[in-house]
Amino acid sequence: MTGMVDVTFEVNGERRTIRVEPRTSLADALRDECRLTGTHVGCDEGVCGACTILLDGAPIRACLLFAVQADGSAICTVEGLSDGETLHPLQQALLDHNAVGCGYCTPGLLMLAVGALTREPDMDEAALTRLLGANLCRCTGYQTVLRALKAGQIAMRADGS
Amino acid sequence: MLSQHGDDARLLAGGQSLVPTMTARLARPTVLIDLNRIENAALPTISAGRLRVPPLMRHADFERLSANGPLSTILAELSGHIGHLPIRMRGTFCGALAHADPAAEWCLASVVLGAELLVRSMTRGVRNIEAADFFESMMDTTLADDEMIIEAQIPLLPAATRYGFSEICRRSGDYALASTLVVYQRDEDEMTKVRLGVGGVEATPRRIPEAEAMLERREPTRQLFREVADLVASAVDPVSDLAADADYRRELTRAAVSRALDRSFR
Repeated sequence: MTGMVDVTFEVNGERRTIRVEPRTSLADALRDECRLTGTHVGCDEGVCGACTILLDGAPIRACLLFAVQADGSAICTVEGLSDGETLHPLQQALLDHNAVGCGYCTPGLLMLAVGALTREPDMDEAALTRLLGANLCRCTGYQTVLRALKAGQIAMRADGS
Repeated sequence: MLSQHGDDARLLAGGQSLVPTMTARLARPTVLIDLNRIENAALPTISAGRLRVPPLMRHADFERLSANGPLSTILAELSGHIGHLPIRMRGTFCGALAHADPAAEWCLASVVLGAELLVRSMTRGVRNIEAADFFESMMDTTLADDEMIIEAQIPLLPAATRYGFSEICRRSGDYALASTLVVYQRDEDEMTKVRLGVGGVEATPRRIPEAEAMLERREPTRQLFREVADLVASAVDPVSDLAADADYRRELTRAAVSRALDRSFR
C-alpha cells in the first residue's frame, strides 16, 4: 500500500504531475515536490491554519488533505495571489496596515481571507472577526489584520477580484 | 473493501477529525478508503417529510439550504458553530456522527430532532438506527466494522416551530463544554412537542425527558425556564476533563439550558 502514486493537479494555473507516497499531505507535497514553500506547516493537525490554501476555490487546511485526494483539482497557494509585481489587494492591505509580524501565519491568513471574501464578499466586522479565529497569529494580536481585511475587502470589491 | 479489511480500515470523508488523530498516531488504519470521489453524495434531498443528508454533505452546505422552514434555519445556525470555515468546507455531517464526539453539534441535533440513520454493510445490507440509539459512549457508536452511514434522515418541522440553541466554549470554534438544543411547537400560549437535549456534558448527547415533561403544555415564562435549567443541571452526570470538571460542567449546563430556552422565546 505504500508504493508511489502519480498525482496531477493544477497549481496557480499551471498543470503539475508529482509522485508522492499515498500518506503525503498536500501541504508537504506543495512544499517538497512543487517547491512552493509559501504554504507553511505549523501544527500539522488542522489547528493553526498556516497551511490554508484554496482547493477548487474553497479555503481548506492542506495538512488535513492527502495529496492524492487533490488529483484533478485546481489549487491556489499564496504564490498565486499576486499578478507579477502587483500584489493582491489583500496582500497590499496587510502591508499598508503593518499587519505582518514574523510572517509565519501570513500566507494562511491570506488564503483564508481570499477564500472567505470570494465566497461572501459582504462579510461584516463581526463575521471577519469570527473568520480570523480559524488561524493562529502570535504576533499581531489580530487588530491590525482585521483593519487590513476591511481595507482589502473594499479594494477587492473595487478590483472585482 | 470495508468488509474485507474490517477494523484495519477506516472511511475517510472530510478528514477533519480522523486525519489529526492519525497525525497523532492515535489512529493507525492500514487501509484508508476515500469517499470523496463518490458522485452525487453531496446534495441533500427531501422526501416523505424528511431531509435526507447524504454522506458527503459538508458542514458549510447547511449554511444555505435551499429548503425553507424551521429545520433549515436550525441546521444553518448550528453549522456556524462547527470549528472554523476551512473545517466546515471539508467536514461532513455523517462523518461527524460516525466520529461521535459527545460535544459535536450534529450529534446533539440528530438526537434532539429524532434523526434516523441508514447504515449499510456489504454482507448484511441496510439497517435503520434511531440517532438516540446510535451513540454508545464517547467516540463510540453501534456501527459495525463493516458498516457505513449512507444517509441521515431528519424529520422536517412545522412552521410554528420555536427553537433555541446555546453552546458554551472557551473560544469560538472550540468543542462545546456544554450545549443545549430545545425545539417545540407554539400552540396558542402553550409549548407542545417539546424536545430538549444536552451535548458535551455526558459521554453521549441525550434528551432530558424530565425537562421535556416539565415544559410540555406549559406557558413559556422565565421562571419556568430557570426551574427547568435547575432540573437539567441536577439530572445530568457530567464528565470531568482538563477543560472542565464535573461541577463546573454542571453549572455550564444550567447556563446553556437557560440560554437556549430564553432564545427560543425571542
